Amino acid sequence: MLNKPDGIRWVALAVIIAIAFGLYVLDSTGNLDTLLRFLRDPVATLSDVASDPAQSVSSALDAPRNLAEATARIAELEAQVAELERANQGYRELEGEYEILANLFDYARETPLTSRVLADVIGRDPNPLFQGLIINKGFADGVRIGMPVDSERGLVGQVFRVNERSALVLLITDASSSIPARLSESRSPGLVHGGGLGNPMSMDWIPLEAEVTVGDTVLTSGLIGEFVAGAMVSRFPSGLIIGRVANVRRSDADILQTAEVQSAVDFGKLEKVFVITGFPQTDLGGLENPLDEPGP
Amino acid sequence: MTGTLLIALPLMLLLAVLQTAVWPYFAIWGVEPQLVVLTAVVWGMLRGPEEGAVWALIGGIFLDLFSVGPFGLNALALVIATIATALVQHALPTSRFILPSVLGALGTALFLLVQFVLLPLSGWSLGLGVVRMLPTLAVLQGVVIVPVYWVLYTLDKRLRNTAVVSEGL
Repeated sequence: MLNKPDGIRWVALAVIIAIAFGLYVLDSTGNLDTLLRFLRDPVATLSDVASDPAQSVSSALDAPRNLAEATARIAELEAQVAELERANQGYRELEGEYEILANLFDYARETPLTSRVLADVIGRDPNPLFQGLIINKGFADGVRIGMPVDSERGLVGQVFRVNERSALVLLITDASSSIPARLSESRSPGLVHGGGLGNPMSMDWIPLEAEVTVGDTVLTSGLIGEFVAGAMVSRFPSGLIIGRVANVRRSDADILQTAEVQSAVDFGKLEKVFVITGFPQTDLGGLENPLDEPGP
Repeated sequence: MTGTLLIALPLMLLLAVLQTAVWPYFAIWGVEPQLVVLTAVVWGMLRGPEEGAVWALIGGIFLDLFSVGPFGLNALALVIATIATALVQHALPTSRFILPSVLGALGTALFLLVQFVLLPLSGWSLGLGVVRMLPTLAVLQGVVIVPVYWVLYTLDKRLRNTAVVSEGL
C-alpha cells in the first residue's frame, strides 16, 4: 500500500516553490550568470566522462551486425564512391573555373581566414522542449556567446551560454532559433526558423516573386546583426550551408512564401563541431546605432 | 529528511548526467526516458509532497545546469508536477501496480505543461512537435516508472526500518 501523508505542510511546499521561482527570476534578470559559469563546468566534466563510452556503445550498435549486412553495405559504399568520383570530376572543372574567377576579383587575397575552434559534443539538453548541445570548449578557449557553431555537414547552431571550460549551444532546429538566410540559386533572402522537436525547419519571409525549387541550397546570408562597440556586425558569416529546400508552400493570397528546410546534419549523432570564433564581416555599412547619435 | 537528502544529491546528479550524456544515444521511439522526473514523482508518492518537492528541486536544478533554457525552469516545473502528482495520488484509491504508471505519465505531462505556460513569458518560442511526442513519452514513462518505483520502494522500506531500529535502540 502506498504511504499517504498525514498532514501536508503547505508552508514548506510554498517555500520550495518560491525557491525554484526565485532561481527562475534571478536567471531571467541575469543575476546568476557569474555563479552558473563556475557551477556548470564540474557537471559538464561528468557529462564528458559519461558521453565517451555511450558514444562508443551507440556506434557499435549502429554498425552492421553480420557478414551479409556488411557485404551489402560494402557494395553500397562502392557504388557511392563511384558516383562521388564522377561528381568529383565535375567539381574539379568547376574548381578550375572558380580559381579563374577568384583571381580575377583578387578574392583570395582580400578574404581573411575564418578562425575555428574544434570542440567535442559532451552532452545534450536533457529537457525535450529544448534542442541544445553541451561542448567541451568555453570562455578560456575563446568561445563567446553568439558565436556560430558548424560541422562538416552544415550549420549546427549558436553559442547560447558560456562557462569557463564548456558552453551550451542552441541548435538551429530549436523553435527559438532564427537565422538570416538566402537561397543559393535565386539569392532571395529569408529567415530560417527551427521547428523544435520532431518538426522541420522552415525558411520564412521569402518574397513571392522569388523562384524557389526543391533541392535549392539554403545558406546563411550574413545579414542582420547587432551593434558592437558602435558598429553593426553580423552574427553569422555569409555562405554557411544550413540545408536544402525539401518543400515549398506558396499561396497567391500571401505576399510571401515559405520553404521547408532539411539539414544534412544528424543532430542526434554529432560528436565534433567547430565554433567559428572569427569570420570576415559582411558589409553592413551605413547602419549606425541610433542610440549612439548625439541628441539635438 | 536529512538522510534522504544525502541520497537525493548524488542520485539526482547521476540521473541528470545519464539523461544528458547517455540516454540521447539510446532513444526509444525518438524519445528518451525522463528519469529525474520519474524519481521525483515516485519519491513524492512514497514519502509525501514535501519530500518529493525537495527531491524535485534538487533534480530540477541539476537538469537546469545542463539546459540551454532559463535556469530554474526545470526545477520549478518539476516541483509543481511532483506536488500535484502527490496530491492526486492522495485522493485516489491505493494501488501499487497501476497507479505508479498512471501518475508517472501524468507527472511528465504536468512537467511539460508548466514549461509550456512559462516559456513564452520568457520570450521563448515553442514547437508543437513535443505535443505529438507526448503520447509516446507518456507511454514510455508509464513503463519505465515500474522498475524506478520498485527500486525506490525498496529504498524507502529500508530507510523506514533503519529509522525504527534506531528509535528502538
